[in-house]
Amino acid sequence: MSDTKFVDENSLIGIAASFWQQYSTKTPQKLKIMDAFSLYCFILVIIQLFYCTLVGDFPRNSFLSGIFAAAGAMIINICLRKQLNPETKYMEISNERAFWEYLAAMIVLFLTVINFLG
Amino acid sequence: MIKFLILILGIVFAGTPYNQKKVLVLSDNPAVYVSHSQFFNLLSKTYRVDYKNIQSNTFNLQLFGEWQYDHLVLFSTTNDLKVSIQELLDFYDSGRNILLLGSTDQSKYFRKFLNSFGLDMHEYGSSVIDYFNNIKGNHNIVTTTNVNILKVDKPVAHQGAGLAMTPYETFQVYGLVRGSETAFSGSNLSHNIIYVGATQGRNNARFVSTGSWEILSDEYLNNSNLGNFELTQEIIRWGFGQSKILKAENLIHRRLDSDDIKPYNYRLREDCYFSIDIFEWDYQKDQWIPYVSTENDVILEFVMLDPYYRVPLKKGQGAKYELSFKIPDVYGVFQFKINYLKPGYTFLKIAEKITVRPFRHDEYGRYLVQAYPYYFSSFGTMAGFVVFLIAFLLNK
Repeated sequence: MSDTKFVDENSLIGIAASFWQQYSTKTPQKLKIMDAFSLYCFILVIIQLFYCTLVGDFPRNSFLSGIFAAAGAMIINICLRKQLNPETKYMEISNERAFWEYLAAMIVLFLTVINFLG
Repeated sequence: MIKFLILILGIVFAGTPYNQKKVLVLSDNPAVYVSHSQFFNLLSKTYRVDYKNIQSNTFNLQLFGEWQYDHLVLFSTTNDLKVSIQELLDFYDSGRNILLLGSTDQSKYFRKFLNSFGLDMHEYGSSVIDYFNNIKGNHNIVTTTNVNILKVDKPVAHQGAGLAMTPYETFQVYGLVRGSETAFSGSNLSHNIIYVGATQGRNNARFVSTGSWEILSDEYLNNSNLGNFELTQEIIRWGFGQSKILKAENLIHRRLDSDDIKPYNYRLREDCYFSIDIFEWDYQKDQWIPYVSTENDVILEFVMLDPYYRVPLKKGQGAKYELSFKIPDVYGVFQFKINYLKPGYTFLKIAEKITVRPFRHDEYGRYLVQAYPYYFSSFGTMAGFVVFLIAFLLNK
């Protein structure tokens, strides 16, 4: 390849820079939106864990349901992303079917969370 | 008609000597009936007394499994009793009271009998000597004012041997009349010498023993400077179960804000109200009167393996002792326990079981401020999901 490289490939910053460059050019728009949602859920999990170490997990049910809402949403999102990417697809299911399964999983998750929220 | 006659007879005989309790007096020496005549007068006023000789065969403590007498007065002798010690102890275990008048030359039988009650007699031939508190300079006749539990105002005279006990009083064994500070007997010093000792068993039967006969004999009872007459009255009353008898009844526990008595179960952190009536028997008025404890010392324990509360009950109206408190944050099977072991009074041991349940599914707190981040994150993911769907589906 004859792309000019301004950063040293072998250092940590080099790896991060080249990753970011590949990511922003190669991935389609839809997958980027899904990644954004996953990142948002992950940040929510981090915030809740931080709050829990500060104050303690007193209403245990509420703590569990908050964490599971965010973490579960993130995981289900990642599963759909794997299905939609032709390189990482793991079952012979069409994209629409994958999306309906995604919706069903999210609805079940949110019902459980609301019931357990207490 | 027959029923009516029986009713009339019952009413007539209710107050007569046929209803009184029977006391058996056993002694070896007929001279006792002369020298202790006042004592027997006092006994006969409230009891039916049977006088028997210790060695005779004409009395049975027990006949076909039923005890024939309610109380027992024993004058100790140098010989053994026809009745075995075990039968006397069974008599005591059945709740009946015994008064033992000892003497320094009593036989081993009586010394062993005394030992079963936590008391011990001084050695053969010993007698208590006091050079300061005595009568007419005769240092063998000693007086003391150290009287517990019984109410005696004047000094009490004693002649003869004393009893011994552990130096401190337990909740069961006490020294009713103890030696004055300057008394001694052989190697025993004043704080160890007991003239009249008592034991109250766990079944509330009372055993009183004196160190010598003479403490209840006429020559001291007739002396109005001494307190022996009052002591005799008090010994008869206390020893035979007429004074300082307590009774607890009417135990109520309920939630503080409701009127259902003894609900099926309580919940954590509820307010609970407990009350109990304690009565004391008044022998003068022949009825139960409310018991007044001076030191606020009827203590209620709220126990599940360990006491969670141990609080004195407050005196309410009449005979009521009551308390309201908050059930702790623990669920399980608890007991209300009262263990009232005041020296001289009958033991009050009460236990009442309740259950405390945890919160029901819908009794927990809702919308706690502490849980706001979790509420926000749950609904936040759902909102984010909706936003994501819109962005995803409308994207080209």
